[in-house]
Amino acid sequence: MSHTYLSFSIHGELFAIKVTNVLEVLQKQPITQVPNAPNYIRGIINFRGEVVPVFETRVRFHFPPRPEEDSYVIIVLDLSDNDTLLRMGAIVDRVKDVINIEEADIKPVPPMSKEFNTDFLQGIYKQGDDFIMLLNIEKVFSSAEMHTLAETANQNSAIVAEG
Amino acid sequence: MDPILQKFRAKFIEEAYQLLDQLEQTLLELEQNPHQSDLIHAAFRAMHTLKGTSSMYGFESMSEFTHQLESIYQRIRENNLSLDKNIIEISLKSVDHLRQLLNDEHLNQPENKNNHSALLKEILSLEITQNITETPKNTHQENDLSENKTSSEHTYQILLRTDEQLFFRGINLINIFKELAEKGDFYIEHLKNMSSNEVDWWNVVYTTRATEEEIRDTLMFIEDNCFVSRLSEENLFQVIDHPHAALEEKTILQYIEGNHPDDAAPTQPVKNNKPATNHATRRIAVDSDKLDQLMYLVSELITINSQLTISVNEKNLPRLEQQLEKLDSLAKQFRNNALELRLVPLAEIILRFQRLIRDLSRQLQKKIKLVTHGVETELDKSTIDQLYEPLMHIIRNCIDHGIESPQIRKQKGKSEEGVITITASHTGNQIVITVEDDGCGIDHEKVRRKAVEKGIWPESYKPTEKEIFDLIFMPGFSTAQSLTAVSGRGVGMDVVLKKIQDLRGNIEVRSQREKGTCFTISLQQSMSILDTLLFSVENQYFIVPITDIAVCEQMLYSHIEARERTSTIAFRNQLIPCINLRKVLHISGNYPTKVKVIVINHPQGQIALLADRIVGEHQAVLKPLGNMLRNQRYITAASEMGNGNIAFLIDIGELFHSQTQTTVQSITI
Repeated sequence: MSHTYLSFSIHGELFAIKVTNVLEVLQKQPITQVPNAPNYIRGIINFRGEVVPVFETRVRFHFPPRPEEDSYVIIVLDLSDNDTLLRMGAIVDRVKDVINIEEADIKPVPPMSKEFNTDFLQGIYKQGDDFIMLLNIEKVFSSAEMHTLAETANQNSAIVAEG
Repeated sequence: MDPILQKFRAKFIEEAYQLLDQLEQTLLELEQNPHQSDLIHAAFRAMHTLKGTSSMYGFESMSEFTHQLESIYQRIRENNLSLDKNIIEISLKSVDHLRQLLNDEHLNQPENKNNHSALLKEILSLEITQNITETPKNTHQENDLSENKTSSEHTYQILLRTDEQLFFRGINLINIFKELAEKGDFYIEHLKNMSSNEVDWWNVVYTTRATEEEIRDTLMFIEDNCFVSRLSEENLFQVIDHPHAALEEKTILQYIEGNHPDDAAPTQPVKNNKPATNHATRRIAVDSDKLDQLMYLVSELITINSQLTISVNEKNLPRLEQQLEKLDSLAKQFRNNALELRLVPLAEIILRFQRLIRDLSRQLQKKIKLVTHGVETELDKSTIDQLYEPLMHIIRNCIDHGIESPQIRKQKGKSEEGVITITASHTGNQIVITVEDDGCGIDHEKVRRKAVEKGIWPESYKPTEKEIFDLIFMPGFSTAQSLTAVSGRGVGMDVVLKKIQDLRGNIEVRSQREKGTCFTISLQQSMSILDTLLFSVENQYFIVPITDIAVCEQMLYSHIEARERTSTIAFRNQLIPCINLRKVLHISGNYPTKVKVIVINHPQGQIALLADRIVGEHQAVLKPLGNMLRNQRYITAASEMGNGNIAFLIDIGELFHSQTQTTVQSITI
């Protein structure tokens, strides 16, 4: 069994997700900020007549923030979260490739730095000299995870505001 | 079965649900006025149509069943049987059962099968037991009368051919048969030998006092598909019917006893597995998907129109303005028309509650009357559908916990019959629905003790009335002393609150000991498209409903700053709360020296918002923010403006609530 994946880079690291989840890849465009939104939500965009939240994956993966002038692309995704369909945009640095990956070639996730939540990963795939991290997007963007994240984010911002 | 018939069947099922709803309503009215002959006729006609059409679409068990029920009403119609509570009870159970049959025509579910035979038995026993009690004199007179009537009745045969063409022409056979049923009786038989895959043939025997010409008029649209001929100068049913019916009764009794000797289980109340909300609401005969599609197109049109308006204003193109104005007004009319299509009177769901109240009050041995005011108030169909569940919960609560048993009511000096009053009205953009009972009211002390038990409040805590009422909406909080099947499972009021909030509405409860409890639900009339005022703070755009705006003014920011500590503003000789949106929404920058003040009317009083710039009127197509941003407190929806920007709808209620409270707190600190 093989699946087709879309690979992309964030802060020099390579990731991939199944293309079946991908709706479209959008160029850098204005994103409307949402007041009081958690820090990992960059804002919302209008995608085919629908309001779609856009995530900054760098924040999600605890990578250094993206410089304002840097280019980026938005991958619009559909994923199921507790039986509801969730549509969202994920900001990544750039899209690389579309690849076919045999299930048998997917390697288990090795121990990693505590900074990075290994639950987010489904496995590792080696392509030439590159290691591509296959993302478990349901986990990365599940609303339960998000809400705990949102709470901590809000607490942090509250602390910042008070300080 | 061939695909054509399959398509007709889907249509039939839809209409059958409507017929059953009508029948149920008629039966409930009959229960109040058992002697009103037009109601008896209406019930009979509904059954008759159902019987004929169901057999036509292969719902044999349904047709057979309705036939038995119908014959009871036939006798009532002829005054051979008097309509009593028992008959109504059985008829209502039958309606429930028939709804089940629409899903399970072959009685595959054992529960349905048991019910079927048990109910049939009950129906048949009705006829037999009352047969003995009927007075011969009465029958005699009636027979004379009906003989007079029959003298002018004739019997016709209609040979009907149904094929694909008929379906594609959009002919609704059910309506045609409804019309036939109004003027006479019919019996339908599928002519299997003549039918093929493409064509079905039906033999319709029809007795009526109508002339052949009138029949042909009714059949006008299917003229080419049928052959009408007169079979007899008299009513053949009248001549054959009685021995015939007796024969049928016998075979059915045999069928029940012979085939299912063990099925003598008593009739169980039929459970409504399918919530009634799933049925299409009566007045909309359009597929609601199509309506949604229309709404989608309208909203796209409005969006483009708004974008165009903004661009033209920005680029200052006076030559385009006139056309643009026309386009704008057309789009608005179109929008209002489309919205109106989706409006359904609240009565649509209220009528369903009549049955609920009737059944529950019997079950709990209470006497309860439903009084309604203003139920013709119209709401968006999707809102109405979503309101069904919360309203049902509230009414269940009124019946179960609110209204006392007749004995207790008597002791308290109230009338034995409790009253539930549902009132609907609209003011501006708001729709207000109240559900009120005259029961025992909410026992403050009981609620308080329960909260202490649950560790919500310390023993010594003295809650305010509002705090007590708020607690009722807390998840898992129920004051019911014992759990009943009706309500009090500890779920309910919190679900009600959530559902109402999902509709961007509010619910409040007021209660007076021994006087009763009143739930007030307020909702926005239109859910998806709104006339709004667009304004900006820094680079963020916001909208508020234009109907809520009292006035827009320009003030010196220095004046406002002076009152910053109390967050109030002087407006028409009084101080009203003033919201610094920069602070509340954490927006950077400072207000300009000349700040725009938008004063908004809110049920709890006026409130002012501070803006940098007022852009103008904006027809907003509201889009939900989605699950990920559902924790947003002060903004409830988004609307596209042109140029890729998105404006946020401000939730004035929430802002008023939390901001005025926090201000009070900050003063006390």
